[in-house]
Amino acid sequence: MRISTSMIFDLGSGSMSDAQAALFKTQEQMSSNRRMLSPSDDPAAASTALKVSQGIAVTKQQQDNQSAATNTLSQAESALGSTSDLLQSATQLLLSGQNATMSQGDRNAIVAQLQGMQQQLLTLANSRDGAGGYLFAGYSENTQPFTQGTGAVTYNGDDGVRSLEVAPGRNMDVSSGGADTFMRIKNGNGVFATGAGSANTGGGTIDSGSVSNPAALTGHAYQLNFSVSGGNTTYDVVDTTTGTSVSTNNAFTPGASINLAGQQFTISGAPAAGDSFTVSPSSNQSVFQMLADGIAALSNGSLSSSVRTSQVNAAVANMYQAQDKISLARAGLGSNMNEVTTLTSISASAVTSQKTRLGDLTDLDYAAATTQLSEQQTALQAAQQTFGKVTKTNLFSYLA
Amino acid sequence: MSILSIGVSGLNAAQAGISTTSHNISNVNTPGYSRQQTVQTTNTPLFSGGGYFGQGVNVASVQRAYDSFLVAQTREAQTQSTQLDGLSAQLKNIDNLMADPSAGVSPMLDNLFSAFNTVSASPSDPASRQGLISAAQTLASGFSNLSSQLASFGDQANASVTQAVSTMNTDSAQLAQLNQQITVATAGGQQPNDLLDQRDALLQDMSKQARISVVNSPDGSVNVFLGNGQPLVLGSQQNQLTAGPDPSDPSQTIVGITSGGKFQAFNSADVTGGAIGAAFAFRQTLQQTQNGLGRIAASLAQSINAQQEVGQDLNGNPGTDFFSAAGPQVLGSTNNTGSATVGASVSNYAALTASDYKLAYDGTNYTVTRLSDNTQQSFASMPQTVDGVTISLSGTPAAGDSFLIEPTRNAASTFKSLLTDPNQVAAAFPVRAGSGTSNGGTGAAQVTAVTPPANANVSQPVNIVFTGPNTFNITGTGTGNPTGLTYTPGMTISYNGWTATLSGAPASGDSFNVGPNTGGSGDNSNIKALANLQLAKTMGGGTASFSDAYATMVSNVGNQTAAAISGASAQQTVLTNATSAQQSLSGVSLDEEAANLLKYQQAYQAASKVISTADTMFQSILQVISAG
Repeated sequence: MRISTSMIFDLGSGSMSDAQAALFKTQEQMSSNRRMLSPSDDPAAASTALKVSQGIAVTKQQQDNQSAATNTLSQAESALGSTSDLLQSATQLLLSGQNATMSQGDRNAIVAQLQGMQQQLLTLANSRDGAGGYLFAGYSENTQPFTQGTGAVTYNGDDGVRSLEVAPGRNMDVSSGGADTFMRIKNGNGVFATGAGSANTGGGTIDSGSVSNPAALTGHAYQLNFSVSGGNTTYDVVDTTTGTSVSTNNAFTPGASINLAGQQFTISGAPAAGDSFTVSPSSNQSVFQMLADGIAALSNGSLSSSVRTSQVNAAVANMYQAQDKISLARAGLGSNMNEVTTLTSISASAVTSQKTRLGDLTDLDYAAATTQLSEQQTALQAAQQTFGKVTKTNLFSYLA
Repeated sequence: MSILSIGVSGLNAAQAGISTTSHNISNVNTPGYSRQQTVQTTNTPLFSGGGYFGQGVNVASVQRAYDSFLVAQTREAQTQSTQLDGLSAQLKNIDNLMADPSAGVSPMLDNLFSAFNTVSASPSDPASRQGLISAAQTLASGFSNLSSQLASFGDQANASVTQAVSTMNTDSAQLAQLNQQITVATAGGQQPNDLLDQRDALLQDMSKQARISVVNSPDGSVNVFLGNGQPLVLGSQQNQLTAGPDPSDPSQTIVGITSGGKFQAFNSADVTGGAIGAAFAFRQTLQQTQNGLGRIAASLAQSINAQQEVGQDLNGNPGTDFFSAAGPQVLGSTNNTGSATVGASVSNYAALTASDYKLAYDGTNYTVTRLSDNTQQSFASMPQTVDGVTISLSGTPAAGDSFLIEPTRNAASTFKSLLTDPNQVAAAFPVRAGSGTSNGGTGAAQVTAVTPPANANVSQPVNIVFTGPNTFNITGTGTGNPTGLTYTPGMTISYNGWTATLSGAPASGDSFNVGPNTGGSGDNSNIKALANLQLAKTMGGGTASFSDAYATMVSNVGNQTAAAISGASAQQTVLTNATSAQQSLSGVSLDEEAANLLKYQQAYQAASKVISTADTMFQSILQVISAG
C-alpha cells in the first residue's frame, strides 16, 4: 500500500487524541469516584441506580416514621404509666377510707388527697406531645380533650387513630383518641355492677361479684328486696328490666354467695327490712366519674357505714376496670414500641444493603481503574514515540 | 541538429517533471489536493533508410492521481460520520444533563415525598408543612430548569440547521462558479486538475452539511442534488436553500426553498446526513425527552391535585390544587386550507405516552398517527380518544389538512407549585369515624380512604347501627340507607367517596358515626395517601411510578446516546478507511516526491549533457571548417 505523508500525520495525531481521550475519561472517573459519568456509560445501571436511590429514600422515610412513632408511643406510654400508678394509689386510699373505725374527719383528709389526684388524673389525660398537641385527643390534637364541667368531665376529642408507615405496607397506629381509654370503661366487674339502696338502714353490704355462668346471662337489671319477719331474713328478686318477679321469699344467709342469672355475688351483714340491693348490666363510665363516685361515698357523712362500704366496694371495682383498660392500652403501645425496635434494626440493615448495591452500580473499582490508567498511559506514550520516530524518517533528511 | 532538439525536449520534460513535483511538495498539506504527475510520450520518430529514429520526448498532459469511486466513497462516509458525530455530541448534552445522580428530577421527587412523609408524622406542625411547600417549589423549579435547558438544545439544533444551510449556499455558489471555469478550461482538451480538486473539496464540505448526490455532465461540470432530487447546482446555476419554520410546528427550523416569496419546506425525512441530518435525528430524542418529562409533570400534578382536593386543609377547607401544568398543545399546519380547529385534553393520565400525534383529514376519514412508532388509527368522526387524549374538532376541515398534537410537550416547562400558605396542605380527610359513647362491644370504625374524585356528600353524617352482633343498618345522605347488612370483622364499607373499616366485636345496639372531621388537625390520613403516590403505579397504563418513568426516560436517553457514540466511532473507522484508500492513491508522499525530484534532476542533467555533447559535436565541425 502506498502511504502518503498526510496519512502518517493523520494516523499519528488520531491515535494520540484517542489515547488522550481515554486517559482523560479514566482520570475523570477516578477524581469523581463514579464509574458512570453519564447515563450513556451504562444506561441499565443508571436507571437501576435511580430506583435503588429511591428505595434508600423510602427506607429513610420509614426510619423517620419509626423514630416519630417511638417518640409518640413512648410519650403516650409514659402518660398512661403515670395514670396507672395514680389509679393504684387512689384505689388504696379508697379502700383505707372504707375502714368503719375511721371518723368522718379522717375520711375528709383522704378525700382531700383523692381530690388532688382527681386533678392530676385530668392533667395526665390532657398530656401533650413534644410539639404541643394533645396525646389523647384523636385527630383534634389542638383541642383540649378532657374538660371539667359541672359535675362531670366531658371528652372533646374524637376517635381518630393516627398511623404511620413504619415498614413497607405496615401502618402502625401511633396515637388514638382518649375516649376508649378514659371515657368508655365498663363499670362494676365489667359485666354487671352491684349497688346498695341509698336508703338502706341495715348492716348489709354487697361485693362486686363475678360471672358464674356466661351462658345464663340475660342482660337484665335485677333488684333484691329484703324483708325480715320473726328473725328470718328473706328476699324477693325482681327483674326491673321487664318489671316481673323472678322469685320470692328466698332464705338469706349472710356471706353466702347468691347466684342470679349466671351472676354470683355476696351480701354480708344483716340487711334490715325494706333494704334493697341492685344488680344491673355494666354500662360505660369515665374514669373521672368512677373516682368522683368513690370520693362522694367517702365524703358523704350522712351515709350509713354499710351503704358507704357497698358504694366504696363498687367504686374500687370500677377502679380495677379502669386500671385494666389502661393496662390494655399500655400493652398495645408497648408491643408497638417493641415492633418498632425490631423494624429499626431491619431498616438499618436494609439501608446498608441498598447503599452497597448503589455503590456496586455507580462507584468506581479503583484497582481496575488504576490498572486501566497505566495501560492507557502506555498506549499514549507508544503513540507519541512511534509518531516521533516515523515522522523523522524522511528521504529529504538524507539529501544534502 | 536533431540531437540538440532531442536534448532540449528531454530538458523540457525534466523541467516539467520538476515543476510538477514542486507543485506536489508545495501542496502536501492542501485539503482535497490530488498529487499530479506529468505524462511523457515519445515524439513521432523520423524515418530514414536505416529505420525510425526517435525524436525525443514531449509532455502530453499533467494528470492527477484520482479515482472517482474512492472520492464518492469518502464523501458518503463523511456525510454519515458528520451526522453521527453531531448527533452524539448533541445527545451528550442531554445525557450530561441527566448525569448527576444528586441533582436531577429523581432526588427532587424523593425530597417531595419525604416532605409529605414528614408532615404525616406531625400533621399540624407549621415547620414540616413549610418544608413541604419548599420541596414542592424546588421540584417546580427543577422541572422548569431542566425543560429550559432542553429547550435551549432545541434552539441549538435550529441554529445548526440555519448554519448548515448558509454554508451549503456559500459552497454551492462557489461550486456553480467553478463549474463554469471548468467547462471553459476543459474545452481545450486538458483537465484543469487544481480546479477539479477544489470542486471535490467543496463537494466534501457540502456533504458535511447534508447528504448530496453528484452527477457528472459531459461538459465537465457536475450537478448536485439534495435529498429527494432537489437540485442545488445545475451546471453554472445555483439554487439557494432556505432555512425556515416547519409548517406543522413553526418552532422547528427545517430546510426548503423560497419560491415566489413563500417558503416551501422539503419533507424532513428526505434530508439526511451531515449536520442537518444530525439536528433532525437529535430532535426526535429531544422531543421524546421533553414529552417524557412533561408526562411525569402532568401525571404528578394530576395525581397529587386529585388527592389534595379530596382532603381537608388545616383551616378546615377542602384542599385546592397543589400544582399546575399546561395541558396538550395543538398546532394546525400553516398549509391548512379548511376552517377546522382542533382541541385536545387528557382524559386518562395513566394512558399517556411520551409521543406526539398527527391528525390528518383526507376528505372522508380522520387518521391519527402516533409519531413515535407511526401507528395509525382511522376514524370516520371526531371526537375520539387516543392513548388517553381526547381529540375534538370544530369547524370544517379541508382534505389534506393536518394538525400536530403534543399532549405533554409543555407540561414540564409550565409546571408550577401553587400553594404558598402551609395551612393549605390538605393533610386530613374531610371525614372521620367515631364510636357511640354507650357502645358495649369492642368494635371500632375508622375511615381508611377518601378517593378522588371529590364527592359533594363526603362529610355528610352517616350512622352505622348494629341491630345484632352481626347485622347493621346504615343511614345518612347519599348512602341509600341499606338495612340488615352482614358484619364480618375487618370489613370495609364505602359511601360518599370514603371507605371505612369496621373491626372488633360490636354488641347489638352499638353505633358508629361517620361525619365531618371538624378540628381534625392531627389527622394525617390524606397526607399519607399523598405520600403513598410515590410508589403508586400511576403511569404507563398502571405499570410505572413517577420515578420508574423518569428512570426509563434516563435509560432511554443513555441508550440512544450510547448507540450514537458507538455508531459515530464505527463510522469514524469507515471514514478513516475510505480517506486512507483515497489518500493512498491521491495523497502526496514527500519521500516519493524527493525521489522524483532526484529522478527529474538527473534527467535534466543528462539532457543538458546531451545538449553539451551536441554543442561539442557542432564545435568540432566548425573547427574543421575554419581549419580548412
